[in-house]
Amino acid sequence: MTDFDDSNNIIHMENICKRFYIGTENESEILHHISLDISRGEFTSIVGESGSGKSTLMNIIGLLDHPTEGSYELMGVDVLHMRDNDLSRIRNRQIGFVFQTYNLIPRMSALKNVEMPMMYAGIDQRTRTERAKELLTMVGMGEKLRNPPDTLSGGQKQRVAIARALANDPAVILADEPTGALDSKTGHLVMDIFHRLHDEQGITIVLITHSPSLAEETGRILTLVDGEFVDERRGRNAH
Amino acid sequence: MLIENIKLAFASLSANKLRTFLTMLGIIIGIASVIAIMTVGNSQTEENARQMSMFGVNTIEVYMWLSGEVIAQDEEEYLAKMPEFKPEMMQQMVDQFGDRIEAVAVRCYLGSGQAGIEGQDITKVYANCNIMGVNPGYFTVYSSEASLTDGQLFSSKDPANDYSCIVSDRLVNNLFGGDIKKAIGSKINISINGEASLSYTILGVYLMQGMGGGIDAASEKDISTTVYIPYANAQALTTDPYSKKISNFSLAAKSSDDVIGLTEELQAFFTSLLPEDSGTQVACYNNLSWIEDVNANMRRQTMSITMIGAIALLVGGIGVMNIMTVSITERTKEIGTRKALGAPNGAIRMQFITEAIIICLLGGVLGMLLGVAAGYIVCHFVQGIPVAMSLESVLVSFLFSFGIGVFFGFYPANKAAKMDPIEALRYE
Repeated sequence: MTDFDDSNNIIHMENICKRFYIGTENESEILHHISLDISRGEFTSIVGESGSGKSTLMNIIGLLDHPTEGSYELMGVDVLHMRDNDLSRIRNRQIGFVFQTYNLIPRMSALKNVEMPMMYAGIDQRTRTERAKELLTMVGMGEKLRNPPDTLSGGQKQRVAIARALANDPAVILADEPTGALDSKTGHLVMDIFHRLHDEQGITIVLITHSPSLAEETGRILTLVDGEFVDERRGRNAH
Repeated sequence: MLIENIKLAFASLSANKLRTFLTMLGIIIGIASVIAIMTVGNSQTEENARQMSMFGVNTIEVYMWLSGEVIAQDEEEYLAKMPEFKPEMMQQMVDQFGDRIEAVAVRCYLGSGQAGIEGQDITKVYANCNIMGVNPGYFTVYSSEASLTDGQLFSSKDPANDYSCIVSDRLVNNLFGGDIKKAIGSKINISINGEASLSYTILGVYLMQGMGGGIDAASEKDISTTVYIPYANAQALTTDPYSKKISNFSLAAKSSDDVIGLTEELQAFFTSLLPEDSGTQVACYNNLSWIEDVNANMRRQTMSITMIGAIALLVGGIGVMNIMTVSITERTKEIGTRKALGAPNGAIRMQFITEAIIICLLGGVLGMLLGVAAGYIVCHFVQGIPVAMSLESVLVSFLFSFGIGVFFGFYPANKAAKMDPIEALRYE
């Protein structure tokens, strides 16, 4: 259905504005003319205080929300004029979400959770299970395939969630405060996984965080203040 | 995907076993009541048909009467005006339809009384009886009621003076201790309506069937059974002037396929024989259409009560809808996650509809078992009739519970499918 361009430009956003309560007296603009380019293999962090608009931006990047103005091309394809089902497909194949609260489906084993995006992609059961096992082994969860989420620790849950995000080999991993619910030691272990994925497999990652110290580990830091990028630089501790 | 949905549905249903069961209970009770009602209704219908077929499905009854008010100066004139099937009419009918008629039956009820063995004290050994004059054809037309098992039928050349009779096996039990050989050829005295007794020779014995003779007596011994005497003899003896006229008779069609057609043709035949404006009317009935009427009526009643049972099912369905709405609210975050991971709206909708269908189908199967059991208990222990399970009720309830799942699952499932993923992900 969609011809994705194989070029290095994964995300190309121009003049993205997002306004809420349009036409009411509460109307407010959360994002002001944001432009953003992310290339293949970049590990970018978007840093901002709460209220800076980073969640809104993430929702727009993740195709969960529509900007009020602007253009957005994902791998060279205009994704702002698509129907719901097409957007679902693109989210499914091209974007891997990692949430702060893991968002694993309860009552389903780690394996089934990782299989889920592949199920929606229509991949057959055997391939699904094989790939899910592979991914879980890769994030060090090979021993806990059958465990349901409530038997796993926070760090383990997040590793399962990362494996799930990778399931359909997406163009970009969108991680929203992935260590926000973890203690610092476990948080570091999770960050190590992201670094490994980035360093060893060249996976494109966008990390959304309020923590400047985490951001310093990434190759590129974009600082968002009141809906505008105010600074762009290389992380001090970038690998 | 379907298998995936089914597995998922079972997983989420078993996560909340009590709630699932309580929700199912509505469906169970609804389906059970519908099935129970249908089973009992069906059994009742079959039992009716079985009992009515004992009257003979080939039987056609023909009646003649005077419609409207009969104006007569005295009894004699009134009697003269009463219409009857004259012998020439009967002959004409036999000429015209003879090859399609198995037998014609006429009867003349003489009264009730008691029978005793000649030469013995009737106060000690007796049998209650009704005395009815019939022609030999009667035993063919009403074979299910009075079927000769021993001896022979009336065959006298002078039937008016033929004092022979055919009695029931029960009368033989009462008078002869069940010895049929001894009974046949024996003379019995019968007093009719308390008058002086007449002497009859037993010619044959028939087996009395269930419906045969008014089971209203206190004991087996006092049961009144019918003693059949020759029609002409009864006509000669009767003191009732109305009984001397044939105002109705029955006949058996040779083929049950011909019953409806023959009934119509006989109706036309007799109507054509009657003088116009005489006020005399003829009607031909057959049991087949009567059975159909009774069955149709029974089915209507069953349907009406089933509708009431279906209300229970409706309430059950609303329960499913209610619990699905709750379940979807509880799983808002899961729905948001699934959408973020690329589940199209249709897949979310299917997931929850599948869940609703599975609750309903499980409830449907359990309800079916319960309903069959309840139907069996009512039929077997309460009404004492054989159980006729209706296969269609099983099929209908299966489809019905499936339909309830779809119908009552659709609204909540659609609500889930249309959730805004951002809102849903934020839900705690």
